[in-house]
Amino acid sequence: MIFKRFLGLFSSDLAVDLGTANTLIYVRGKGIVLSEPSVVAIRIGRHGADRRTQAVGEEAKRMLGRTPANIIAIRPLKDGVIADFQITEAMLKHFIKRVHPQRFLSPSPRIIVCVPYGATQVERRAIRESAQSAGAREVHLIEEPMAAAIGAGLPVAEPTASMVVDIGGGTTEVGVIALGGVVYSQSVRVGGDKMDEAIVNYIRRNYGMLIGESTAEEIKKTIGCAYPLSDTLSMEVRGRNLAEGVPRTFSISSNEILEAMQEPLGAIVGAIKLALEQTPPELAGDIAERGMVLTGGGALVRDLDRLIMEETGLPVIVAEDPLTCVARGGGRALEELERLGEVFAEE
Amino acid sequence: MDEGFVELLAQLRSARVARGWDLAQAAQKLHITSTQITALEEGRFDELPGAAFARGYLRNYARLLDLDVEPLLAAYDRYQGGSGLEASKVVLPRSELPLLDYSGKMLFFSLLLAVALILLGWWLWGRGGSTSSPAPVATATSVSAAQHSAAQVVMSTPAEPAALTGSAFSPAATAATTSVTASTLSSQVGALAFHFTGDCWVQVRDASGNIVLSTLGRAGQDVSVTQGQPPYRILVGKASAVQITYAGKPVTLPANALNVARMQVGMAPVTASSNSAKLAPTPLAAAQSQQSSRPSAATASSAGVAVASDISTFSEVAHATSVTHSAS
Repeated sequence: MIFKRFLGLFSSDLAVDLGTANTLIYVRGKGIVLSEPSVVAIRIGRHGADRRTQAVGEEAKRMLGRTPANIIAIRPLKDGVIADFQITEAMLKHFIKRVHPQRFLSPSPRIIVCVPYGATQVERRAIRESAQSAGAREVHLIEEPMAAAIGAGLPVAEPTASMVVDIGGGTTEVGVIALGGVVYSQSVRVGGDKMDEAIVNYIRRNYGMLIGESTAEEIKKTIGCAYPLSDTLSMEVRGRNLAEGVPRTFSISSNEILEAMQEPLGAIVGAIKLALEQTPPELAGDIAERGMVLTGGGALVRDLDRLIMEETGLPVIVAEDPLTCVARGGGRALEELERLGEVFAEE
Repeated sequence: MDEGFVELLAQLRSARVARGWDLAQAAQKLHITSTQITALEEGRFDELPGAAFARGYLRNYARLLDLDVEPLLAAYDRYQGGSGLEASKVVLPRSELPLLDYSGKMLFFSLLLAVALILLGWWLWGRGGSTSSPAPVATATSVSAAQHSAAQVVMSTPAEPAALTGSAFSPAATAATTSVTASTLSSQVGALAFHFTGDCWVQVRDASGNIVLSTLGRAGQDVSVTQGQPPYRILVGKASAVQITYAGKPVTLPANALNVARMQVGMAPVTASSNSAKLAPTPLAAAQSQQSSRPSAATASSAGVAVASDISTFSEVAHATSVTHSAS
């Protein structure tokens, strides 16, 4: 016990939001020090042997869909959980090394990792072991809705319900939180990635053009909206024409993107409505009075809050800096690691 | 609240009025209550659910009215000290006390009670041990008035009737002999020996209840007991694997269903030796008086032998022979 405290004096503890799209690292006392896409590019040696990391993070993301045969750019997480164990470990190791430089005799850090509420035992263990082999002294898991609510500054300890909707890259987590615990949570494997896919499919179907997922993400960020805008936006997109087989440029409007994203948006709204149905009546009353908070990258989709507000008839607010909410919440939990044993998720 | 912020909040009201919306209409569009709209316009943020919500409502309201959100939020953050931006301060509700309070006082009294109980138990047990010892002495006195102890084997169950009959038909006969046998036997008191023919555990307690021997004998081993006061209470684990001799004579073991056998060997020594001299003639006289009625003496002697053969005690044999002697 005393030895652990002693070690704690010399190691910096980390909170990691290991997301499908982005990985964020919060260092105790410093705040968010790393925010990179969860992408790893691997160079494969001759005859498939000798795999080496080519790039990790932002640099690797730029390689997505643009790699030659001997390099593969991989997103090791899918639907909020680890799809490729080894590459996730390599990525985590790389990120941790970047924020926690290994010195002689310096102890390894304690790490809090955020996991989706819907993650299975196997997936949780995979995340835990990945963090352990990446060099963690202790690994704690915290459920994403809880971390998101803490990060959004909601009064989680009070006996009133706070509803948080965390729309990440792979999953959307809807959580109802009261008295420092998750009362109800619903996790659907729909998020930013599904929106990108929907845009790719829509453009292929309606324009006969093939675009990559990075381009689709760019479109979503620039003109994507979840509710009809008063003045329509449009942008130029380049892709490959399926019929002619040559690259072409075309223009697409925000109303079309709205139409394209109907399915994933409908799934998110459905999950929120289901959560509202399942919430105990007293807490539902609290939610009706205060509303819900949107966090995660998905909350940045234009007018998504208005869509949910109209669909549910409840006040909806977007958290400040929604992308970093989960990491900040994890960091807050990290600061009270000793006291907050109960907040952490069981394996 | 600085004047700039008050002015920005006043702009919210004027923009709403300019659009011709009353409080209820604005509240309906934002899905919040009209009192919350009033609170926003008048800057009474403590009436709103919390800093994060107040900030969000303010943003939504400004956006609804097509006002510039950024200066309003910046002013709000200045006013609130950025409390709507930070993570929650309190993450877990503070718990008051443990469910059951085992305070120092209660612990002290329960400890005291436990010590008292232990002392009581010890005292009772100690008393119980001291009262149990006189029992074998009582049996001994029933057999012989002349107290010179020799060894006497009393087997727990099968021997008792025999001993009873023996004492019933001729108390005098046995009494008469004690003076004769006592001197010869006293030297051999306590010579209890075990010869093991197989592995067998043995426990021997003396008259005061102390364990004088407790061992696991191996085949071919010889163990003898010299310390302690007779009578000895013997507990044998495997009766077929041990031969017991007491004062030079073999002790037959009861044929129990199980191999475990319990028995008592020897007689309590009595110190009042001066009485024996006085008492001795009387039993002798009694024995001599038996001479006249020979048949009865004969039966007595035969019974005595029978007892001896049954329980094979040295002392009883001595009794019997002495009776026959005196009878002849």
